[in-house]
Amino acid sequence: MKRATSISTATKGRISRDGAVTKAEQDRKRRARAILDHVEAAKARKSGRDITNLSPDELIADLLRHEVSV
Amino acid sequence: MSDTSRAPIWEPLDLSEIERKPKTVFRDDEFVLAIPLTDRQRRDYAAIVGLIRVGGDLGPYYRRSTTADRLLTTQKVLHLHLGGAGSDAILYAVQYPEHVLLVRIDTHIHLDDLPPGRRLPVLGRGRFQASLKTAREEAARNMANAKARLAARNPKPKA
Repeated sequence: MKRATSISTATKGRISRDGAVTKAEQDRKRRARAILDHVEAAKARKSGRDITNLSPDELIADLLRHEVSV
Repeated sequence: MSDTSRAPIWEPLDLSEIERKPKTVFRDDEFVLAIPLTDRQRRDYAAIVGLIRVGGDLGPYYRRSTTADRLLTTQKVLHLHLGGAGSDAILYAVQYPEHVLLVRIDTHIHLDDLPPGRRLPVLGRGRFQASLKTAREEAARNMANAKARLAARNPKPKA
């Protein structure tokens, strides 16, 4: 178990009386990390569209959806 | 052609031609078809995607030029001609070691700009590169975790 290294951390209630980081605090950090990972993964999925396996007709239809009038 | 096998997969290449090896093709989030295309040019677009997928010969879509391609050297954006080498319908793309990102279809305007490519969108490219990097790092983490689990399950016998 990690030991508290500063009084300020202790005063925020994130360590127990004996100076160890509480399980609740460890869980909070784990959840925060999981949320960040989820956000990063979502960002990764949203970047660009994989068109490698579209058929020629699908490619052309996809292309024409991005036509803008100049 | 230089060896790009050791380049990070998220870094764009400055090669003037797309490598003759299968690559995954992505359309940029900010992709725009800015000019009307003829049927032949649309078919060329589909053919180019198919050729990149299999690592085919894209020779007919390049135009040999005696002048330096400053869009390529400064922005690492290469271009292919739709509808014949002399056509004014240009497919702008960025090449990576394992991917090709299609950025825009337009006239020569982005090649002639000063500086070249100043009006080409960059945010989509940045996000795409970040996503490649994130995916690679995640894969490396997963691999390391899998190895650690395997090692824990099958500890080496003590000598």
